[in-house]
Amino acid sequence: MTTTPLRLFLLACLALGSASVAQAAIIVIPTFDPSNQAAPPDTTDYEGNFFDGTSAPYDLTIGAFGFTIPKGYRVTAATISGTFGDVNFSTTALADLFVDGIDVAGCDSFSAACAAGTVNGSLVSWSYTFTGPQIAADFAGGSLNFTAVQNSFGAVIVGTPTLTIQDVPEPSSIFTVAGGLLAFVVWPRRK
Amino acid sequence: MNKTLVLFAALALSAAAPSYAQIVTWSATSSPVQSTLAGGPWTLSQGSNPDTTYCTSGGTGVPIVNSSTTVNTMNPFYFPFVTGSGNNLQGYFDYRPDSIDEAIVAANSTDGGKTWTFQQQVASLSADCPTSNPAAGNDDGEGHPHTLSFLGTTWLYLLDRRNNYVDNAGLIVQRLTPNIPGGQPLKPVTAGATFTPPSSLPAGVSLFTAWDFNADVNTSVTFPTITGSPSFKINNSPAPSIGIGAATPLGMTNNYTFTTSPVTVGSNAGSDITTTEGSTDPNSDFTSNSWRIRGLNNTAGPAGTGNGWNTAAPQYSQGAEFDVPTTGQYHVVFQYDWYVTAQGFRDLQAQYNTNISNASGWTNVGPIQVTPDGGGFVNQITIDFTALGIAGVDNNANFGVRLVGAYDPTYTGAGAPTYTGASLTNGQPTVYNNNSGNWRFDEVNFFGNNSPGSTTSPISTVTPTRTTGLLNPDGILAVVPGTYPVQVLYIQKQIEGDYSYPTAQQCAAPPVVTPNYPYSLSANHDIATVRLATTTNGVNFTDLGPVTGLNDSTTVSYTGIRYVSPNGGLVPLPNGNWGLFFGAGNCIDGDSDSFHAIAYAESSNLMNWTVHNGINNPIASRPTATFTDQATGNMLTIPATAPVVGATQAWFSGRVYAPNAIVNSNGAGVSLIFDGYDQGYAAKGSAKDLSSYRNIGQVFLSSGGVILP
Repeated sequence: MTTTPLRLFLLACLALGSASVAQAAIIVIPTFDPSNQAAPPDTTDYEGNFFDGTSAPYDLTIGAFGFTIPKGYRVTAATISGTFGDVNFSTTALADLFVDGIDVAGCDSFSAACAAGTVNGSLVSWSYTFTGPQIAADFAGGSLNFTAVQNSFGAVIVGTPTLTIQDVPEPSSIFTVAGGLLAFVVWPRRK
Repeated sequence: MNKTLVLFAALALSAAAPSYAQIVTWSATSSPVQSTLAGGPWTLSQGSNPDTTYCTSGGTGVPIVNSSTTVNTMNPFYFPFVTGSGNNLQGYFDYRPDSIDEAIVAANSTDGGKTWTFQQQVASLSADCPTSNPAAGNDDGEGHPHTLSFLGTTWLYLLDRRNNYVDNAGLIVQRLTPNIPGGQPLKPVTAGATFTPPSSLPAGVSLFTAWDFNADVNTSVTFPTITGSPSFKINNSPAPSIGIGAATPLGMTNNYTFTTSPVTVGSNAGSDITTTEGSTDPNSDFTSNSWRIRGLNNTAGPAGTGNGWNTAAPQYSQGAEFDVPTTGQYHVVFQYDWYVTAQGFRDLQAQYNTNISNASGWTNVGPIQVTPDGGGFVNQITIDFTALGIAGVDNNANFGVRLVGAYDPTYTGAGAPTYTGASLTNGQPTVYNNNSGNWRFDEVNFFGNNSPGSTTSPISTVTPTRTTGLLNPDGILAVVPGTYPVQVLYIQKQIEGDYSYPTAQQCAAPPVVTPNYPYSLSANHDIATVRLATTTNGVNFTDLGPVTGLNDSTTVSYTGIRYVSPNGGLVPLPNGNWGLFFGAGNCIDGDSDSFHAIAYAESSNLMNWTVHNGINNPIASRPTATFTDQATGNMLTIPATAPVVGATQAWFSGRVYAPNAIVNSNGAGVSLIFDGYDQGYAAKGSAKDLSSYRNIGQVFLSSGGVILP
């Protein structure tokens, strides 16, 4: 079998196509809304204002996750993770965290380590994996609101949450790759 | 003996053993070293006498601040408070050059506390530079720092060293916030801050009307309707110290019968300004002015001079009224300090009126307030109208509140329902006596937001303030991590409190033993008690009582622990137990700051402790010497067992205390950061050695194979 320019082109297409079929990860950190921060503009942590709890619950806009799904790709999975507390504070006020209205985490008990602290000062982690319907409903727009409801005295401290998005080419892109592969296989026989 | 018998005997022995055995036996894995500080304020190496070297221009300039590349031995710093894990530490230090100034300095370390890098000055009460002048009050700063973190907040606690405040008033408490995104841990408190609410309010929040009564005076008023036309110095309408408002006594002019001897009929309002201890007034001496509500002179006399307060008065008719326009203010919060004398009305009801022209518009708000048994101040009673869902308070030119006497709902005896007195009898209230007692008010404050719509209480950010509920706090010994309500061990210090003890339980003058204890010192008479308390908000604490086992306030044994000092090191142990490093002292030192040795104890419940390393087998200690024990008269060499960290070094031969323990990253031990003085600082006059005092030091300890959580 000899190598021709056309064959080389098809090989390149196959390689590119195969690479794109593999899942890619888009990692996003939020842009924080300065209006609800203790020390704005803080672009690396979210440390909310202190509230004395007398008027709880408090609705807080923490910020937004902005991202771009490449054309011809679709989101197959998404997970958000973070910690209660950050480099400056090891705990948070009681709070529920929401991404586009989806309850992704909660620190719900005064005696929980997220609120009262851990024995050794380590932070309490949290994460949430979005369901297929949630992804279908919320991830197409490229922006997700990140909000909280504070339910107690104190301040909401969530550090820097990370949204990890897995995407793959849309079926039409896969068909293109598949077509290239088929052509690659068939071409020597027709010659 | 067969195997079964052997097993049975072993089980029996096991069952008979004490239920609690020492968990950790510590050993040193390094020698104590003096820590260094990069940057930061003047240190002793820059001139041992701060009076002449602490400031630029020979004492008339500003405090010296070193560049970040200048590294000095870390003194004069003491009462370290250290957080962190492994070798990465955040420290807060009480910085105090001799007696000139006092500040809290923040520094961090990445090597377990051997070297520190200055971050910032956190708080300072005195900015005097440089001369020590106790008369001017510049020897009195804020010290003994400790922090407490929960619910996304960190609170800094400081001892107010001013006369009448130290070991008497609550600790100064302020909430810390970071000032640099992702970076520095603290926002500095303004130097010279006096924790006055108006200066600490954020933008958009006002203390729009207040009475502190400090500028109010009594004036002589003649009462021609009273026999003899007497004059009394009174003030029935004190002016607000801030803003606009009117204060008026209620129900003190009346025709009730007073059970004085002889009986008096009738009273005229005779409220006055008088000094009273214990309010939250931050702007004056501890005995600040208050407004006393009563009839004319509280003594038997002609008709019309009755005490004013009377059980014949209808409920809610006697007390005080504060009419305050809230124009331009939103989310109004009312706060006040209420004092009751030993015989005064026991119960108070607050009322509000959104139209003070409407005499029937007064509505109860909040619970009945009850004075402590025997009376006293109940401070910072707070009414947040917005939080209570009460409309019509904000932006209202005709708003007012009343603080009035209420029937005691717990009293069911003869005459009920009626008013009772502040002092209980056998734990039970009794009917008010109709002849004595009064109420007083201080720090009557109205806060508001300057724009509508905020859900945040205007006083939610008002710090610094003072703790309540901690008894004679000298400082926090340790915070129990991972607890809510947050548990703290703290030191109650009753200055010169042991004179009530039998002589045999009081310290004699400390021994003079050359060469290491050469100075003639006076006996100390303070009482130090370790107590446990809880808090849910960082400011108001509930005392749970004294703990046992750490010290004995009555011991005069030179091997006993009579005193414990703040800023210890609480270490979690396996199986939920706790280890505690702490400064321990006794009659040898003539001081209640508890600096003879660093001791170690363990507990399974935080209330009952067993000391495993005491004065006689310490972790670290002042020099070994032979004393004639005050308790037994025997000659004792103390410590009998060499200290865990080895021989005493010169820089902690005068004092060694305030041990903070941070667990190593592998859980195999701790870094112990503590404080030491040289011996000569205790000398008097010109002999006083100012070259090596308030040294920060460090040593690594092994937990002997026990892996710490």
